[in-house]
Parts: sequence; C-alpha cells; structure tokens
Amino acid sequence: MRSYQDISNEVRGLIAQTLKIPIEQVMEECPIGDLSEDSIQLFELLITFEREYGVQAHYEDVVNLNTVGDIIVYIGRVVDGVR
Amino acid sequence: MQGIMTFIPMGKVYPSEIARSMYGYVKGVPSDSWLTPSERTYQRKLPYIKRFDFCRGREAAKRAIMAYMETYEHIRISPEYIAIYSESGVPRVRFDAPYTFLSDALCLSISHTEDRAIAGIVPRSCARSVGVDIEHIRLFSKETLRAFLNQSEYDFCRDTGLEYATVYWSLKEAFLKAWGTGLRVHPIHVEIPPMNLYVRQTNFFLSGEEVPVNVSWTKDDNRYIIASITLV
Repeated sequence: MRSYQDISNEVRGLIAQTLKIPIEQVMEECPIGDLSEDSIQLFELLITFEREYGVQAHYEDVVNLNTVGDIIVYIGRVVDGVR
Repeated sequence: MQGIMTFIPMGKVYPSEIARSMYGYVKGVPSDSWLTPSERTYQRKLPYIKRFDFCRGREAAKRAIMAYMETYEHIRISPEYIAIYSESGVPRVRFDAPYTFLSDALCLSISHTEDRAIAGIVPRSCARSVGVDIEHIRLFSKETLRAFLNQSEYDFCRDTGLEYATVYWSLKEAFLKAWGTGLRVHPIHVEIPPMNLYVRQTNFFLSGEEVPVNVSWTKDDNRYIIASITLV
C-alpha cells in the first residue's frame, strides 16, 4: 500500500501533465476547475484517471470532486484504500 | 464546414426563430458594469482569472435577456434589475422590483472559453430548457475521441473532418446542460446520428432513449464552435 504522499505526488503529476501546467501550481487546496481551461481539459483528466486507476465506473463521483486534495483522497480510496 | 445556426455571431445579440430563443455573445475585455452589487461582491471573491469569465458570462446573459424582453415582451429593462444566480449548478434568472413577476419566466444557459462567452435564453412557455456551449476547435487524441464518440460518430469525424469532433463535443455538452445534468452524465451516453447534425428539429439519444431537440450550431472566427440545444 502506497502512502498518501506517494499518491498525492503521482496524482498532482498526472494533473500537471494533462493540463499542461507546472506541478507547482497544482496545490491540494486548488479547485480543479480553476486549474483547467475548459470542460474538455477536465474530461481529458478523467480519461487519464480511467487509464491509470480504472475509475471509469465512478465517473459521476469524480466530476463532483472540487479540489485537487479531494481527487487525491478519492483516488487513494479507490486504488489503495488510503484514507 | 457550415453549421445550422441562422445567425452569424459577429455582433452582440442574436434572435433565433427556435422557440423564441435569444443569444448574447461577448468577446474581449470584460466589464463589471453589468453586475448587480451582490454579483460584484461575489465576483471579487473569485480567483483573478475567473473574474473575467464571470463578467463576460453575466454580460452575455443580460444582453440576451434585455433583447428578449424588448423584442417579445416590449419591456425595456436595465441590467441592475436582473440577477443571475446558480441553483444546483444551473443558472437562474431573477428580476428585482418592479419586475419580480418576470422571475422564473426564462431558461438560461451560459458558456465561456478563452476571451469570450455566450448565453442562450428561452421562455419556459416555449421550451423546457436550453443548453449552450462554446469550444475552441482542437485536435483531440484518439484516446479522447474514443472516450466520448460512439462508433458511427467516430467514423463520421474520421471520414469528414476532425473539426467535427469539436462540433460533437459542443452539441453533447449543450445537450447535457439542457438536460440538467451537465457532464455529471458521461457524454458517451449521448448519441447523435451523423445525419441529424444538419437537421434543426431532430432526436438525440440518451442511453438509447429518443429525446426530441432543436439544434443550432455554427463556427465562429474560424476557431470556435458554438452549439445550442433546446428541449421542447
């Protein structure tokens, strides 16, 4: 089981890569909607999560998450049971 | 590529014959002069970059509402009497006194991208809801295309032109806004037969169920797709 910090670093890296922004901008308290330019970028982020973590079945949950921190917690629960 | 909106969005306000709908379109430097005091207070709490989107969206919406009121209701109303608020993510229109009797008479949808915003309104007496979307035309990765297009849509875009992928995205997002869920419903669940792209009154399919829609879309500035869906 990976630590919260490991998952946080990995998820923040994926967000930065997909949204094409520096990882330093991807802070846990940031609303994800403020980091992405539009809905298509957010959708591409969901595809990235599907590919990396197999969260497709939880699409409706993922789009309701607000901050980067919320996403990290959610991915942690889905993948590793980290709380 | 030619869309099926009857207006060419180069000015500020556009009437459409579909269900007495009206569109407001704003580009460039935003102004907060269109905001009510409470909207201005809210706007100041937003991240700096989001304030511009907020102002453009409110201006586009109020232009559309004012034009609708003047054209169809013969009422001249200024923006300080119009408040736009969000209810479960859906924008709503409220009119302040002496126009409170008009509140909830209109359905509203707003979309923005980069330096522009579009708003569509339609009276509840003519339609159930409206959804609009504006997107920068882009080249999607194959993985993304496969994620939101079904096979016939994918084949159509591949054979006809990849710009149509942005048309499909905009129509699906506009449809889901009009449906009331937005992207909480996965866009792959919306199916638009390619032959229906150029039919103004047609059916889309949501999880296999037919949904009657009025469709408008156009290409603007050679770089953007604007789409509007009205549910009747």
